[in-house]
Amino acid sequence: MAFLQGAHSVLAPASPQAAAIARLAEFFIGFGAFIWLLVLGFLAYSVLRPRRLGERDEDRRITHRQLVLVSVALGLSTLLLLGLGFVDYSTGKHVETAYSKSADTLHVRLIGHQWWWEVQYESPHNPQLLKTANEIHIPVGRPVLLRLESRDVIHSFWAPNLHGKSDLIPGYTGELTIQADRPGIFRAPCAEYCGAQHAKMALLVIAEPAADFATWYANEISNAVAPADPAATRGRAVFLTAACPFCHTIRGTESAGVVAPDLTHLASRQTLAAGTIPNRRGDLGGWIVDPQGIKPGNQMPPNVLPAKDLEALLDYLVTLR
Amino acid sequence: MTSAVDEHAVLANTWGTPRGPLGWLTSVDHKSVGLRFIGTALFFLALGGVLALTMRTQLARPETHLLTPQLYNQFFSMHGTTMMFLFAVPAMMGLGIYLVPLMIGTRNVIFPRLLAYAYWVYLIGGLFLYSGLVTGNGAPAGWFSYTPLSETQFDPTKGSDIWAQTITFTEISMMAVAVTLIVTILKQRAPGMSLNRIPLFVWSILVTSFMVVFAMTTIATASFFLAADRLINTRFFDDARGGDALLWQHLFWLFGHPEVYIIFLPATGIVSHLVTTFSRRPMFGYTPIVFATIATGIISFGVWVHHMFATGLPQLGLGFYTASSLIVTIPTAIQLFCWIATLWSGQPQWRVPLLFVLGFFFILVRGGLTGVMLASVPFDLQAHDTYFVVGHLHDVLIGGAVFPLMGALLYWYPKATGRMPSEVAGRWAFGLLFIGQNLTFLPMHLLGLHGMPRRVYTYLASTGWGGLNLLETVGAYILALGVLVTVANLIVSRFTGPRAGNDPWGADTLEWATTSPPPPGNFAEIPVVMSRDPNWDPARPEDRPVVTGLPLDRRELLFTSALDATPVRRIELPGPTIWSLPAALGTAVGLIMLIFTPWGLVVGTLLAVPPLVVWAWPKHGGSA
Repeated sequence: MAFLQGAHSVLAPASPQAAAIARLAEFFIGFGAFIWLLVLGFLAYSVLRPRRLGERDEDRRITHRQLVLVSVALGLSTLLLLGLGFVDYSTGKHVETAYSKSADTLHVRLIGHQWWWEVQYESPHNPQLLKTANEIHIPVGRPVLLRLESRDVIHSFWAPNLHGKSDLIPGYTGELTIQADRPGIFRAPCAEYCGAQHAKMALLVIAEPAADFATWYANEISNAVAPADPAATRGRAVFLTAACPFCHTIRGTESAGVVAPDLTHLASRQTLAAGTIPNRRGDLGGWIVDPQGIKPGNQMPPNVLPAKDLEALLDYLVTLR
Repeated sequence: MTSAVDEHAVLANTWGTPRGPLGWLTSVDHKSVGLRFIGTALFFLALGGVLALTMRTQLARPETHLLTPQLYNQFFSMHGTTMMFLFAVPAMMGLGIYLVPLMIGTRNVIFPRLLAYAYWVYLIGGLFLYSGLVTGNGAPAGWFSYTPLSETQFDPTKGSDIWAQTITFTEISMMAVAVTLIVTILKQRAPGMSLNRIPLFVWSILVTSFMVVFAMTTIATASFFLAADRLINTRFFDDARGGDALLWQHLFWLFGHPEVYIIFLPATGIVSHLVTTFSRRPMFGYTPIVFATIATGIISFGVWVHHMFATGLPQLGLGFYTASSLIVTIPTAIQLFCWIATLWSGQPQWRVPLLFVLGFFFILVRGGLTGVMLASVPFDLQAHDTYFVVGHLHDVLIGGAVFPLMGALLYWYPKATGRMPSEVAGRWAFGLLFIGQNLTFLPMHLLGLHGMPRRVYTYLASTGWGGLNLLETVGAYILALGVLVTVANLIVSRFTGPRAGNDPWGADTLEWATTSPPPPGNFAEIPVVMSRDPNWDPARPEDRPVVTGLPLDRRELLFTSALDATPVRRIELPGPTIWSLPAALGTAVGLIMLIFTPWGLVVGTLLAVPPLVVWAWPKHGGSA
């Protein structure tokens, strides 16, 4: 099965925490299977074993043997549970402390919305805030402290290859430290039921070498560059005069909407609508015109634009790299 | 001196119910009310099953659009609510209502009119939930209705109101049943049935009833808070205005985890009886099983936070709930080992109910072990809210409760109808249910570990989840076929099954000492109990000691002491009444109106109280 090694599996860890939990999971599954078969074996023998005629009446030892067996089984179960508790505790300790705050921890604020993810990189040195949506880029080998918040209902961040879940709860700020050991794209579907489009609310965690991350970061924190060619320039005017700026921001233009994803570097992202469709020109056009057909119930209204305006708008949006 | 035949006729007349539709509306006989609970619960099982099959059909392939996202979400919310509140608990309690008086040797429950009221409230509440679905107001926020998703801001429909009030309906109903059964079990046991001779099913119902009283109090508080938030803008769960979204989760799971054991414990009681009867052996470890049942009931109130490991609570606190969640498996292990020991030393009879017991072991032990895994915080953080948990909970609830329930329906069927169910159809049903259950829910564990979250109405083809989902959908249809065969068996055998006689299985408890079906007053004479297995008493039934001296022409019976069941006094029970029904209707009108206006409280009270007064009016102008 191809997806056994896929980008959203507990059993294909890409981080020390996920690796520790995967080892725990494999141990649990093996242990559980062994106990299951053992109990079923005893059960099968207990009903299938050959019986002598009238043995119950003549053989007092039967009751005694039952007592011994049940007591031994109970004692063993208690010991095994204690052992499991210990294994669980040491894994928990390992996961919790392995990557606590270090000096070069990257701080990222992750804010849940119905049904998309707002991402803000916090830097003590730079007052400029890097805002993006539905994608977190992280440098390989460096701890990333996620601060988890929600603007509406409860969501949950879960990149199974990297770590377990942590909820985004309105009124609370959660914290989760993740770290990727190898480059890769790890899918993080929302893991707390959050309403109509819970199924289509995925985040991509993109782990890349430090140099690549630095390049991405430098580009992403800059404002959008004013387009050079006339079609794209006209598209920018379409963006600013249509309904778009009420909700969206493209840094470097007069748009300042905050209720929807920041589009400053839209073209650099891999997906649209929180992991729902690929970020290609045609898909983008379809999304702008008919977002309710693609993701019914989401907050984006359909946009009726003349064909030429739509083409110009797309010409502009694809330049936002 | 009247003859025995005349005595039976007098007794039947005293305890009987009027014939025809009037009798149907006025009956307070625990047997008919219990069967109604079971029948209605099976009806809701069918509805919940149809919802499940529709969802499975949608999930069979990636990106299919049989249901809109909104409708799919309502379907899984309604499925969970139906199975937990409208099927599983009422079915188990219904079995308790039917069996408890027969097993403890009495003629009816202590509050028969309250029981009739409880049934009507339950029926109306269940239908009310589905009236929401057909009017586009199905519950949209899951069977757990987490705030703030279930608050007005995010659910402007009436769906969450209807959900909260349905919960209120079932709370009222189950509380009434629980109180009735507790008092009946503690005060109406046949003389001689001391605490250490109570049948294990009755023990399980006693513990479950106490759990219902405490757990339903919690959910009643929670659902009231939610309804108040939605109706009159209280701010219990609104973080923006001083409330707390997490409070709901604590209240809900403080009820929600005991709820699982409210369903599971009666099933363990059933298994104890099936194991005893079909291994021809008194239960090994009766006392440990009783203590295990009580311990489970208590510990189950201390594990709720394991549903909340991902909410960011402090690590040390979580450790406590890991420990309690591991400890709660020990009493269940005790029961498992005692059942195996009993089968070991007995002579297994390969009848259909025993097959269901073996299926129960196969699936429940697996579900229990995955439950132990989920008690671990690191593992749970990965598995939580994925299909792993869906697989686990259906193993525990279907394997742990539905299999025993199916076994129980076939086992006590001859008692209730006087006819034997078909053995062949029973074997077919078992085979289909067993294969269907494993095919549907075993692959889910794997899917969860491969990243499939719960409560998604569809998934992308690129996730690679399509193959296993298709397999699960095939399994779900096989499972449904198994339920259909069982129900068909129950219906057809009513007419074609061979006559059962009093005791077709050769069982040990008192319900098998009377006729099948039992007469209106259950027993010709109230038995005196000398042992834990009164029907295995070597004395011939007609030679066993009985209670004499109770008048036959009044609904009179013995109150006995709670510990030793020594006779204390005579009491008289009330007879059939129509007034339970208007009282329930008044309650329903009030609760439904409360969705729209606070005046529902006033109107409901005005409508429900007069019937309550009439029903409780003393018949003889004084105490009975």
